[in-house]
Amino acid sequence: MTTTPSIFDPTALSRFGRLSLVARNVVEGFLSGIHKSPYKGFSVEFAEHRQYYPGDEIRHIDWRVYGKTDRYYIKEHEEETNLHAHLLVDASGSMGYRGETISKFQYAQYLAASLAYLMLHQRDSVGLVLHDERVRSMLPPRSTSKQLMQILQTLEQAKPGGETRLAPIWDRLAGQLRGRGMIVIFSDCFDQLPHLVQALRHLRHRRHEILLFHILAPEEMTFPFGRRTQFRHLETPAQLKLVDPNVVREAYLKNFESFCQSLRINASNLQIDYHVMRTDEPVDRALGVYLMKRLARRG
Amino acid sequence: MHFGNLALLLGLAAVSIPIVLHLLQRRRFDTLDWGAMQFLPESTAAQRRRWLDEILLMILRMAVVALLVLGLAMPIATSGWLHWLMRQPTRDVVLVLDGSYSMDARIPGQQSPWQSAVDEALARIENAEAGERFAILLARQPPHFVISEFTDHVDELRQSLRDLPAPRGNAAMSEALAQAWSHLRAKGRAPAAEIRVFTDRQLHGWADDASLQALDRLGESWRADTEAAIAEGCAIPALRIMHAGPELPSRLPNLALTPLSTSRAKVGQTVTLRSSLVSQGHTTPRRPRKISAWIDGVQLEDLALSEVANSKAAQMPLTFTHRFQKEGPALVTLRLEADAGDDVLTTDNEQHLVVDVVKDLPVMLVEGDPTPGPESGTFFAQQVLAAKDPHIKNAVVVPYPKLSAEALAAHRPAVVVFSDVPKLTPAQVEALMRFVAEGGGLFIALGERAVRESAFYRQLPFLPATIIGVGASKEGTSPDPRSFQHPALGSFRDGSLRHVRFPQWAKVKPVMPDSVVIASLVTGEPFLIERAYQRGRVMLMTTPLGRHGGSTLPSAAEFPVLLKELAHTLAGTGAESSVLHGGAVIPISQDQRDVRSLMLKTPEHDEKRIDVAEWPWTFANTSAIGVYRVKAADRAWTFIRPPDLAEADLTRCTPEDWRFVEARLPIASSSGSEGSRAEMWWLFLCAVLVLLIGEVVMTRRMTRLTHPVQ
Repeated sequence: MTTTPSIFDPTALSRFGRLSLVARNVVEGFLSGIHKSPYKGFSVEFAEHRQYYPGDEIRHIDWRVYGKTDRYYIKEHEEETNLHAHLLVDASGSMGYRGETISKFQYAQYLAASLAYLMLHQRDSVGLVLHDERVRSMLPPRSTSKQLMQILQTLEQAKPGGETRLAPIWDRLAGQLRGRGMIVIFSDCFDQLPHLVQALRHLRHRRHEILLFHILAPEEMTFPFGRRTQFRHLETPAQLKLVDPNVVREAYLKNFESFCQSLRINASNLQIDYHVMRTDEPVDRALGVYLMKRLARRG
Repeated sequence: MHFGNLALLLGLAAVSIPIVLHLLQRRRFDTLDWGAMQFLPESTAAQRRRWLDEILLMILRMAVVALLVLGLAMPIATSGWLHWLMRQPTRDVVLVLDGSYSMDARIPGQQSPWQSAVDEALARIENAEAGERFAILLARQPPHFVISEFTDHVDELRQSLRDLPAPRGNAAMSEALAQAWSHLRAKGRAPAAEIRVFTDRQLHGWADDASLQALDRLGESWRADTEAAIAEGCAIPALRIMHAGPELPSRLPNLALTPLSTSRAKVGQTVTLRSSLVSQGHTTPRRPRKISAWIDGVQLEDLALSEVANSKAAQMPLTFTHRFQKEGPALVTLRLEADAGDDVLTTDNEQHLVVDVVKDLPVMLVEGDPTPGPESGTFFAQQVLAAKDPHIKNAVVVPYPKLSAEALAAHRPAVVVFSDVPKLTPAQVEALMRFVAEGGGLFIALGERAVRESAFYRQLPFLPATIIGVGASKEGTSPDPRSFQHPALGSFRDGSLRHVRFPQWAKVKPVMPDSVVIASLVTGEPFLIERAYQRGRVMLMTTPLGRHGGSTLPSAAEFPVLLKELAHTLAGTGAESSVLHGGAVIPISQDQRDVRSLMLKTPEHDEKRIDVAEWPWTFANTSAIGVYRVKAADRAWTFIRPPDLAEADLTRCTPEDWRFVEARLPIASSSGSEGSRAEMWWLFLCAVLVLLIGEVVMTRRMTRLTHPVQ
């Protein structure tokens, strides 16, 4: 039985090239199939009408009602539940690792772009922070159509590089991000765990809701290498380690699993939604996670 | 250890391959840009352990290559300690002891060569290396195995050597060596083999003409067999000849008796028995203390030694007479006793003779004249033989066409006389040959008819001479008494036959070396020629028996005596079949089928009972010199193995003589022994297999993979 590659398969998505295309295809594909998904409870229909007051946006006037009543009424959607989302995308050098699939950064791009598209479609305002050991780009949250293009453009132009210093960045952002909102982090979290946890705690202290997408390559999770290999640090190429993978595999996996487990536990303790996203997994799962979160917040 | 294929050791250079591969492998690695560096362990303990494993694996692979190359190079171990690994015989050894009676030379104050040989054989067994097995062969005529199955049971071997009888045989070294070689080919299993001979290196038996010829033939067949043995993978034995006993003087003092001889004995007739005393190696004449004669175990008067004592000759004739009173076989024994210093060998101090005493002597005269008459040879001969000798009865005359196997069986003559007989039929020739072979005597007088059929006579295998022409002279020729050497002609040496005239005679050429001219004509040509043929004797006279051609022999007064003496001589003792020569076995015939057991006495064993499983019964171990007696309930048989008097000549081989021997046989070093030899390739192969299994196990352990993290 042959399986048709899913539209959400990250490798298939890479054929679309531009992020705008990727994001649109992902979101429209997601929404068109949403009745099949676990997210059936979600609706984007308006909740009620209210009388028009000067200053309201003309586009929200329900002209059908006017036709019937000769009165101006505004369609009220779920806008009372709209949120401010900040997309934090890790663009450090380690995110540039690619194994058999796309790179982690490219995967983060697809995720972030798709989520931004969906969020803006939901009338949420979305901002973007692109960083490595420093903030490279920062777009405050907006809900305009222009915002999406700016986010996609910023994401497209970015290349992973630089060193990973997540904790100081997140820590600083915790003080900079205004208003209570949702912070969606796209990162491999390759930093000192205590510092990471401390930064997450700071973000949480600001009463932000946090979605942590822990983006990992399958090779980082299984360490499938067999031949003698010189591992060269993506962020500091001078750092080399010549090892026999068969010898170090057990220790590596133990360290890695321990890190992931600790991060998961700490995230859980901080009521942070923690999700491991493999670069060979369909990207729609991230969209579903966001929608569940939004659903829970609404009701 | 050494190697059969040295050139293959060059393959040891391949041991460097695992080293090269290891070094190349360490220089080869992938490079990977990696983000999760923080999870790669800093510890090098595992890396160090892995490095050690790689080194060990490399060493293991080097060992596999090295062992494989060494195994292919055919390693051969020469050290006996490997026997416990091999559990296989490493060498099969045939110990050959010279059993000829010269080995029993007893010199006062010295060990005999035989005792030295036994001691050296014992030492060889006691010092045997692990895995060596032995068989013991006694070299006599015929040779026989004392222990034929190769064994490493030292006690059994030791006891067998100590139980060996004193040497009482005749020399048969080439036969013994041939038998030892065949035995190794048939029963040897070990990768190495040896024939070790213990001998006194006497000239007779090693380097005399007959022995060198025998060794020539042996050496040739040995070389041919060696090629076949190599092709079959059999071990080629190393031949080592050990000089047993001390160096002896070139000539040692010895007194010996020559074989007894006599004519056919008749009951009541006095016969003369003859022998000789041989004296060797004495600086001054030595004579025995006593020479005694025995008839069936009963001693006669000692022989008078006065004449013997006064003579300085090396060989002195001995004669004594006896009148046999009863019919049947009688054992005559002559025995000398001497001082130990005068006689180093005692085996040749006895001679035995079985005489078949008969009541009368049947003679068959075969007439060649188709119309016999007073001129015929048989006419006078029959009258002479019957008239002058009361013991010659039934001197029948048979026309030559009537001669047949049935006629011979019916008359059972002791002697057949041919008088100018022409050509015979093949059936007649066959019957005649059987008659002579079984001990009969044949006297052939040639005449015109026989000479005309010279081509026929040339085909007869028992003829002492071939007819080459006819001699004739007007004055005729006559016998030359000066040429009469035979005992039967002793009474004619006075020249009493000189007056006999033969106007015609046959010219003959004796068949050498079997024939002896016992009398000549005055022309120097043969008159009487004699030869032995199997158990019988044949005598040829070159002149007619009758008056044909003007011969005056029948009318000579000496003619009857001459004919009688020749007939009695040809009749022999009647017991020639009792003498064992060469490899002869004792046969007891089928007409004893009702007999279930026999009593056997040999020169080396007292009388013992033998159960007979089947008939005819034979006894093969007849190599000991002396008398063998077999008794059934109502009958007895006597057999004699006579000594070879050449064995009494104790002259040793000189170094030059021994070089002749060494030139014919592949003699290895006479000292020490090469180490046991065992092929080791299989051991190396096992080691390679074990190491290969270890390599696989180790490689799998080093390359095992863990499951990925979910």
